Amino acid sequence: GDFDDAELDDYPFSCYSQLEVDGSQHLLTCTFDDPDVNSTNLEFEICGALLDVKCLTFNKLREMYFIKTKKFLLIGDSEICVKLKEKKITCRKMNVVKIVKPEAPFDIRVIYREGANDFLVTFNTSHLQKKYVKELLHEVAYREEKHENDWMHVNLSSTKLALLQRKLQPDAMYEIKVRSIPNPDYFEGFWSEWSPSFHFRTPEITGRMD
Amino acid sequence: YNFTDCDFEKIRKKYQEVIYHALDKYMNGRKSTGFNNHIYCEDPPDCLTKIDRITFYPNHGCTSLAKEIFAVRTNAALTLQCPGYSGMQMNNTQAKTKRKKREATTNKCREQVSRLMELWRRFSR
Repeated sequence: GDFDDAELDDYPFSCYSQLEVDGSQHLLTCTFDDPDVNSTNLEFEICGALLDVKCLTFNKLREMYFIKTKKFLLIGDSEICVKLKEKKITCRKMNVVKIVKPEAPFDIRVIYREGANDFLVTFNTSHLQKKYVKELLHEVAYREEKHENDWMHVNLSSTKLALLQRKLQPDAMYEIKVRSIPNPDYFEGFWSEWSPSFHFRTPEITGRMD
Repeated sequence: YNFTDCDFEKIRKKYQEVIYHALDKYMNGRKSTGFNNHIYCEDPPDCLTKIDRITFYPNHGCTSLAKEIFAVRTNAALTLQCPGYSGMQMNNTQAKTKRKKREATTNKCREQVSRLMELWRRFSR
């Protein structure tokens, strides 16, 4: 055939799902691990754990293969295969609820609370309105801008955090961002992208923030 | 089929995370308390026995719930977590009829589904 057994393994791929990404439509995205793969005639297909249909074929957008559908059963394993001219050349068993990549959080803000000598960090996530992937863990990362790699990290499950003033440098510019991952109970998966960063300056010792 | 050997905790999780929303969507968010749900189940196996019967077998003027999303998910959950449960066998003829538009949600079926919701609620306590 077109492929020797050895070559069959040369097409490793990864996938992630985003549930209710557009109303009740889910999104499943797959890409080859090797960006240099010649994917011209290669197709992706998912079979099993689907509603009303046995299999679904992915759409292709440049090097990304994706399916937008409501037909995920959300129970049990599916098989995702790479196909060349209808011939399956490599397959992986995957469970759509175990490869969830949340949407990035947004609207991160910092408010200085002089009375409490702290900074109140708040952010938003679209997952609060979802039916399925509601439980997330978040990771807030912040750094003093002049110390590029000196990130501090805080893990939390709520969308509010207080940073103590005494833990930050006075009169300094800070950058802060946040990302999310499913709280592994039923839904599991990967970190989202980082939110856009928010920048703020800490007050001088006297205590007024710009 | 005797549901004693099922993995109740995993079924509970599938119900809470996935099946419940399909039941709720079927009822269109209508409160299931609008019906007199005099239905009771003693323990998890008993609850699953009654859930299986109402979900997959026609009764009380509601010919078939088996094609509904919550039923397909219930079938998948029981098939995965109950050893030897063969469940709703979707043979080709049924698969073809499945493509026919799902039956309009009759009041009789809504009454049945509200009983299902009560059974699932008791099961997941």
